[in-house]
Amino acid sequence: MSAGAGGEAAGTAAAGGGAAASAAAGGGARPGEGARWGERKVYAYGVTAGLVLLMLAPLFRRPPADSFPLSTYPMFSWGRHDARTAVERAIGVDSRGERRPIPPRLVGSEEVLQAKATLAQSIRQGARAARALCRGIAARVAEQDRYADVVKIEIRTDTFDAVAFFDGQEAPVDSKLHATCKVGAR
Amino acid sequence: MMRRLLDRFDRAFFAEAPAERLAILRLLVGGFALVYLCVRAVHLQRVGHLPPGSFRPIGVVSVLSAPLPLWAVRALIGGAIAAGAAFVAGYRFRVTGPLFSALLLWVLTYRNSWGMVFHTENLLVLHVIALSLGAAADALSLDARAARRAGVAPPAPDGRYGWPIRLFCAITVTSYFIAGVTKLRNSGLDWALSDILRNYVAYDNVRKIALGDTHSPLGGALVRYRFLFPPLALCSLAMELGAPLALFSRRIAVAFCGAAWLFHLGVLLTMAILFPYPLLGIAFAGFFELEKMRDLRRPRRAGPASRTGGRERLSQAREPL
Repeated sequence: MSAGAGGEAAGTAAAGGGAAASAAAGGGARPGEGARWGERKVYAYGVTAGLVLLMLAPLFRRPPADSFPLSTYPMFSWGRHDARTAVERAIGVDSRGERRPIPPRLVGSEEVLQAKATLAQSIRQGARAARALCRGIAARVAEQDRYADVVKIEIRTDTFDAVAFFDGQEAPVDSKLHATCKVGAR
Repeated sequence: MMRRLLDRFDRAFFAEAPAERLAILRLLVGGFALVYLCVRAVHLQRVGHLPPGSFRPIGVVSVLSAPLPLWAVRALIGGAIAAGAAFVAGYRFRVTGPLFSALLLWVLTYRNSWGMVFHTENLLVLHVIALSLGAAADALSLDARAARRAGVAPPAPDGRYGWPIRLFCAITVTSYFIAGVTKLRNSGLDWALSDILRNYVAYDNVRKIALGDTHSPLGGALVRYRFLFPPLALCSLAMELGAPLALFSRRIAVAFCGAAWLFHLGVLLTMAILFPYPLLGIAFAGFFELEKMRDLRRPRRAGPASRTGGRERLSQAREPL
């Protein structure tokens, strides 16, 4: 398959303006067809310019705001010179005191980033919101046989050195506990 | 001089294209959007279970001050799926095309209105909007079949089938260009010349591990090799900033599509982030003469009786591709 549309735009430029040419050329062209083609051109240019300008608009907003579907695509664009990574997360603690992460779907979303955003928002909103989320997670965990050994949920922010993490230094370099709650009647 | 340039641009923008090319684009993009909605339907309605306090409406959903009731979320998703089926089938497209684009825009914006804006669906929605505003159902559609039955001749190649494809391509390259400009604006050339990409790969994988999600072991292993990342970052940035050039040259278009596809493959392999729309090639389909895909099938139909003839047809079919 060869590149067409984009290339053809340049490649067939000399061939003339398609229907415009055929409409204007007369051969079978009905009266008024040229005007209709003109209207079509105005419509096409309007739609194209409108959509492309709308796409570019977020670049000119101050401060830049991420939205949907018009975005500046800011993910991974900031100057992250430091590998330190703070992660808001929910942790399950079993009766022996061992900890393991609670998966995103039990936090409230199958999307890991949505789950993280939910945790971060509840932490920002204060201890009460964090406790409410904690209780919701605990209720969902209580329904899961796989997590039958989990007796307590913690909402916390753990900070890791992300590069050192993959060299074996997996322990957080800093931790902050925001809320804790028991799982069901276990 | 300016006049000549504008004339040239006008001729290029309205260059003829067969109705089939635009129709195949509709089938690909609409088909993807429809399958995506069906596969994600349960997840899309599950945002109704998130805490109402997490609701942060954006885009068209900004008209709401509180989340919709669950029945309304489900009804809108169902409506989007039904309109998507009509979009793909090309049934009463002048109505169902814009209707599908509006419902898809709403449903996906609503999903992004919970404190986390994702960037995997932007291009899909913009492409559906662009196609819904063109004559994308004049071929390979129920509308086209009805027109044929009414005695209307099949449409000849025309400029009205060309400009929506040019718009499709413009949307694709603009989205990559914006991403490149944002990186330059937020980090300068440091983004490509320092450890920023390496830190992001490490950061993204660590947070996935910490959150109990699937991560990329390859990304974690590569983080140890610092020297790998600046060249990869430089190539990514060059692809993004150079994307608009793909509108002006066939060769650059092919190079851009290949580079962008490799970029998404790299993101998948090192960060376990899946962008299915570009990885399946659909985001770049507007750059190709899609109607010629049919030629690939012809040689298979040739019977064994005429081996030589079959080979000739095969070479003829492949030559322009």
